[in-house]
Amino acid sequence: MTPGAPETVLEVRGLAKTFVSQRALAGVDFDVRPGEVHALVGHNGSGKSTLIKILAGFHDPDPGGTATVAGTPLRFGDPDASRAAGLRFIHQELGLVDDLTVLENLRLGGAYATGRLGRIRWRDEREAARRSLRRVHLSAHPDARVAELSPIQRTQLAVARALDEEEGARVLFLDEPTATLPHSEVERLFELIEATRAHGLGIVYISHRLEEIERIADRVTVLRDGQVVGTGPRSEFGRDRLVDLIIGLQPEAVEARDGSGAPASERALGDEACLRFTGVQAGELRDATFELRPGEVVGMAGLAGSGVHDVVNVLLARTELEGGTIDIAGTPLGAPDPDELRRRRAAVLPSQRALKSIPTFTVRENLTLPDLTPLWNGRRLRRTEERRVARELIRRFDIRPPALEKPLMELSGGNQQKVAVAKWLRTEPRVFVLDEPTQGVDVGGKGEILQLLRGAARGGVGVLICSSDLEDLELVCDRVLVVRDGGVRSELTGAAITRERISEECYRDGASNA
Amino acid sequence: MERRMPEVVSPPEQRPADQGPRGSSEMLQRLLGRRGDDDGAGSLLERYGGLLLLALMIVVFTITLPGKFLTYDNLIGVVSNETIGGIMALALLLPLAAGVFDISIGGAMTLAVVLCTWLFQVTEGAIPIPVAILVTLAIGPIIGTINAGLVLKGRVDPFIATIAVSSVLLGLSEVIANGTTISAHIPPAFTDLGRTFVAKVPLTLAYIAVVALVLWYLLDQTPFGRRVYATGAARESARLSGVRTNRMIFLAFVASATLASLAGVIYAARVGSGPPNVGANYLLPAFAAAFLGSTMIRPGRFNVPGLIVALFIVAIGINGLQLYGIPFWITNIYQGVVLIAAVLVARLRGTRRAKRVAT
Repeated sequence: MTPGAPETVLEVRGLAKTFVSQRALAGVDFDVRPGEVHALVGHNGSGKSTLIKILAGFHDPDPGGTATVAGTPLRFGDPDASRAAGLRFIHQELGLVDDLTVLENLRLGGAYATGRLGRIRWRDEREAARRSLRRVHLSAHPDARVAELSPIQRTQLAVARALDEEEGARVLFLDEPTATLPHSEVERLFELIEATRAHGLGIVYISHRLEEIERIADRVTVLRDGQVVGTGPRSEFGRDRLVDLIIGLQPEAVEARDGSGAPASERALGDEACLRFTGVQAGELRDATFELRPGEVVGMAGLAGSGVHDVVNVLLARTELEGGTIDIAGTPLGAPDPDELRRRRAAVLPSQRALKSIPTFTVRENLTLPDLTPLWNGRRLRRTEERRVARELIRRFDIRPPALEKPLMELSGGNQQKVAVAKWLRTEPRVFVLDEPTQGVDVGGKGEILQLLRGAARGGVGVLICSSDLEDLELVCDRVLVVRDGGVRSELTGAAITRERISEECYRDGASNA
Repeated sequence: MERRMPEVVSPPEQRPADQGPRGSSEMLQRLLGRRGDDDGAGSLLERYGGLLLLALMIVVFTITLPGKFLTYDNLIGVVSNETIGGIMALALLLPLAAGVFDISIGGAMTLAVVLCTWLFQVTEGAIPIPVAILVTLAIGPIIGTINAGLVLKGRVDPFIATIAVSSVLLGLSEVIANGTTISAHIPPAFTDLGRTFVAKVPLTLAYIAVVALVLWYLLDQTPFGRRVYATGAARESARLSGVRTNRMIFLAFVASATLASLAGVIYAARVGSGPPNVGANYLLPAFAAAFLGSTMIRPGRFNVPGLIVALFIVAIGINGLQLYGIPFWITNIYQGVVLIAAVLVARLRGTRRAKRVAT
């Protein structure tokens, strides 16, 4: 660091952001110094990504907040301004184009050095590229195709590109950089970060993996519910304290689990599992084994990359089943497939809104799509009957507005989700698996959806909820399974189902438990 | 469509980038108070605007072309000229509803024309007519299966796959025809199928009526139709809702190729010979009618009644213009303009809908 360099390169003061009805950030202060690695941690929904999106120019903050980069106020709401100020963002996906070469990726969106008649001076370009690659210790040839690079090389290339652009980079944001890296390459990422900070850049490191933060961070800032709940040198944040801060120790919340009656253990549960995974390998799942019985609500939690979401993906054949077996009501499923699931009366609802329903279809058409047979009398679709069925579902699930013929996309997110839940419950499933059932749903709708699922379980459906909203799990589940390192590693029941315990299990070091 | 309505308040960042003119149809929609329960089906003007346009054209042509336009002979001529083109347009309906293009209907029709007439020629008219027809129709499922295989298994873009298949089919027709127009030994009983009039109405009209009715029934009245539309509207979500989308697309391709070969058989019967490459001429009008049809009656969906109205808008328009004395070239220009207009109307409607979502 040269003498006279400013103490902080990025200074955020009082940054707030309110989405339609929800406060995502409530007055955040945040500093980054040149040459430091500053870890930014917090649970999903803590405000991390909102903060980053504001700094990257994708959201306008509420009036009042400021951000200053190297003494100059940052103009909000303009990605170009953020870039010009020297802020660089590297997301998990890295933003590389596989089909182009290393050199072409470096110059993506930038200008090439050209000679007369606009000819690109390839030799000069290659030389410049080699210099940029050396800076990040990447030994790939500028003409190599990016598709041929290893995961860590791709990360190196993304960093090289971020540092390369003409306006000098000042702060580098790395968002979950290890999520796509194999374990063995994490060390090399840390070397890369060391090399980068040596150039005087401030680095903001975002990760769920606390052991990485212990390794690399100089300072830590913890966000929860849109507020900074702790910031300071890393040495002041032990593992336990970090987890406490991330989760927020609030012992109030263990009220009404199932306001509707006895816990599952006392209700009559079916004996036979309605859904059973045995040693399932698929995507991030390495050996997932668990079962779900009729009449119970089971929650499933896990960090990004743990494999929770692959439980849903493998059922929908969006991830290949590589090993193990999946049984539905005691009969193994050959190759998972949505149509086959429907025949076996297993409903699976993915998390992506675009995949839940048909946006241009009307509410009525969406509600009846999974099972049209009862409406077919051998000659025609009985429209009157269909309208009656749809009207009944709209009433029962309180879908608003109660308009049969509105295209689904004109409904709010919460009501679209209710349509999706309703259409599957209409098929009277034995098993209902949902991925992030309350994501993007407002508080009121959330409660209603959980109630509906609880009700379905009372009617004998086995309900499995994969969710990163631990409060949901706490409220509604009879059991919670925690997925870590590609398998179910712990099970919580009864009073042990608290947000804190679930988080603890999620964050627990894989090694100590393997 | 030029008048601008005051913008409904919407947050600027949520507004779609392209700002098409908000039109008079929205105003009418509000005047008609149709923004309530039945919103999904579109306003009256959206639904029946095409019909209104058709009526208007008929009135104008009747008044300005006295004694020429509104005669039985002229009108029946227009209608019977549309049978083959109509079946070709109907052939496109299932693939388009299922969300895939099928360009190969041109090649399929050509091959059918040539194959059917060739069967009579090589057998010196000995082959029984039903057998010749069935053999010709049988190329439909084969072509459809190849298309579906390329698109579903080979994951080739439908547009490219079916263009390529169409070229292969055209080549096969050339092999069979050997550069000539086949016209020997075509039995009169066969050509009767394309030329007979029953009570001054051409028999071919019955063919298109049957095809239209069957397709309408399938698309509008059966679970199959609903699933085809779901496949076309959002293939992956439809699949995740338990729709066997691959099957829908396969069946759509088989249906389109089979209907195209039917169009080929009817053509052969009507003309009484098998000229090479007739199918290509029917491709663009078929797309024009299908797209224009998708903007009316059930706007936003490729539907049979809309397609029929669209066929007439195209046919009557060309007929009227030709009666004014505009020469042959008007046909191509008119069809091209109709296709462009249809696609633009559909797009504007989509934009407006997206806007309504944002508000």
